[in-house]
Amino acid sequence: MKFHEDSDVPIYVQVAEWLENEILRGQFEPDDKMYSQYQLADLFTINPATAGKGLSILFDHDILYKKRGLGMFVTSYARDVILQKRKSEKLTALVNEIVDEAERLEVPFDELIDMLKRAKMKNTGERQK
Amino acid sequence: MSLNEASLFDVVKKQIRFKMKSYTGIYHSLIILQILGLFVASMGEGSMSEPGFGRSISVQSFGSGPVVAVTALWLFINTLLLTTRAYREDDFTFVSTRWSRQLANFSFIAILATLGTATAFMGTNALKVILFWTIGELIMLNNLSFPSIVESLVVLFAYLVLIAAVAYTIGSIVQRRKWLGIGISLLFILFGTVSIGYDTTSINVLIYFFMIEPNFLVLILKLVSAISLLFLVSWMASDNQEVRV
Amino acid sequence: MIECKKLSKRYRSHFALSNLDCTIRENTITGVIGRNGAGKTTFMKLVAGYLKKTNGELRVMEENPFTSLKVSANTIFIDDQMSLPTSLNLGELLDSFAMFYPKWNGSLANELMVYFQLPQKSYVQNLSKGMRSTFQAIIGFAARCPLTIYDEPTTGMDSAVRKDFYRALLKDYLAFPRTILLSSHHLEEIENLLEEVLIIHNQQAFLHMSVSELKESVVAVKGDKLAVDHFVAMHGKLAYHEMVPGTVMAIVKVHNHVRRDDFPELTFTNLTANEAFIYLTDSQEGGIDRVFERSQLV
Repeated sequence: MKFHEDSDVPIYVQVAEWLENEILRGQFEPDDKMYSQYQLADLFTINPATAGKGLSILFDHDILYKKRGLGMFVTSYARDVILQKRKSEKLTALVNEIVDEAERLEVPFDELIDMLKRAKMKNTGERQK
Repeated sequence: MSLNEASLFDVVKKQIRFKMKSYTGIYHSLIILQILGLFVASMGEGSMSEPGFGRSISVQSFGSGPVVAVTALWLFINTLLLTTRAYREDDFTFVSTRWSRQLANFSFIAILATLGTATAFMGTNALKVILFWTIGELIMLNNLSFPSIVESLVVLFAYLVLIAAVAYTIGSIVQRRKWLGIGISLLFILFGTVSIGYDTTSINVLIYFFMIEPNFLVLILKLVSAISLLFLVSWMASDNQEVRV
Repeated sequence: MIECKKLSKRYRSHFALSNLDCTIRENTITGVIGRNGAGKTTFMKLVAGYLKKTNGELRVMEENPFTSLKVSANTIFIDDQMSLPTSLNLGELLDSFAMFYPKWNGSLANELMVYFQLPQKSYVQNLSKGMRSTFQAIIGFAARCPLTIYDEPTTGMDSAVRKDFYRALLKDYLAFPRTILLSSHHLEEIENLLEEVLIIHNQQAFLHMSVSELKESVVAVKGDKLAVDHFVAMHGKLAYHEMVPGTVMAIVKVHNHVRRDDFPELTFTNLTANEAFIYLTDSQEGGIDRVFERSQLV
């Protein structure tokens, strides 16, 4: 995985997001041991302190819990937390972007809602197939 | 990570070992110069002939002078080199403080002086053997008793260390303040002319002080004090020396 | 591990360092970054005990590095001017280091020699610049010194070897944590390895923080002139350029956290750590472009 060095997002946040994705993908079950900061450092060729910061973010959000002397483990409600977080952060950001872009292109709001409806129908239609 | 414990004794020992391994040029030059010295010595010091009625005697005398002189020269030059920048900086690439380097260098000088004494001694004996084979009739004029040989070796060793200490001190001072090198050379030119026969020039006095001393113990005492003084002076010169400027 | 207060180093004609304050914690990788002549090499040579300070306090391992045997025994300084005896070949040099440093990892050294294709019987003076740097880097790794200082260790290395060097640095650090100081002109290459950067500028400690904090402290804004001016006034201007009449781009040092949503009329772009560093230390407004602009006017 390559890091986007000049993206808005600091490396340690990118690490946190990658770990969240891994949990969502099912690579980690509740109570599984999470990678240590040293393993992450080795995996991504980054400083272990940076990796540690990423792990701290997950710890602060109750996605991981600590077992003294053994490391970090995945909480049982990690998936839910992540989905909730993603929804509120990422989705909100994406929605804001869509609204901004629509304004820039001078697309009226009603037309935007129509576009959303059409996208939803296409999505549902594809799933039904 | 836990820190390495370092004792001064240990570090000095390692530095000496390092110098012995890496200063290969010193050993090569010793061999070459000694061979040269032997060659010169084998040409003899002087000869006399005494023609007379019905017979003539010619005497050729040989001495170990050239061999000793060459050893002294070797040690002087190499010790001078020891103080130069490249060698100094090599020391600091590894583990070294200024004090450990001072101790290591003087110990190394002592080792070199031992080496020089041993090879000079062997060289002199080799000379005797060569002369015996080429000429055949030899009269030994020096005292060959064991104590006196030991005495002369110790004295030679001490002289060599003294000469080296002088070189080291000069070198250290010059490294510290380069223009002093010119000053010292001037001093030598002004006062250093050793005129044979003029006992009153200052260098002559100095040399006689060290060389003309019949009492063995007193001589050793003089030499040890001089060497200690030079150790101190050279330390004062290199104490605050920066490296890799 | 390292503490300086108002550290100064003065030569006859100039100050190489003046009033530098910093504290470097044990077992961190700190990048020492600065323009040419800023004082980073002087700083590192003072820490290593090669140079003597003129003023201020400097404590390494709680001792004076200039005279301390402990500091010398636990520190290794790797740069491209490293003084190595010319009479010993590479293998013998490694043995010499092994003799002095009890934690020396001989097998790692030999493996790395093989990997980088350095013959044990060669002599340092016959190596190319890049190979010499590689050899010196190997010494740095194998010595396993609690304080390891690299001053521009990648000089002459090609990019593949550089990548290997950084990877090896990290791997050895993970296996044996130690305090590492690393100076480089290629901040963009090393920024992921660093825990913190110490920026030395104008002979002083300019900034000491994590790389992410560095990047967050500088931002590029683009937009309508009034809006940009308003924003710039709230923070610190580092560069300013009118692209087309009415539209301006500025590089700004932000004094506190900026909520970008509060400024919908502005476009924010993040800079790389290297760009942030350049703008923060650029004393000439407008940079090199200005020089050419000025000379054209004449």
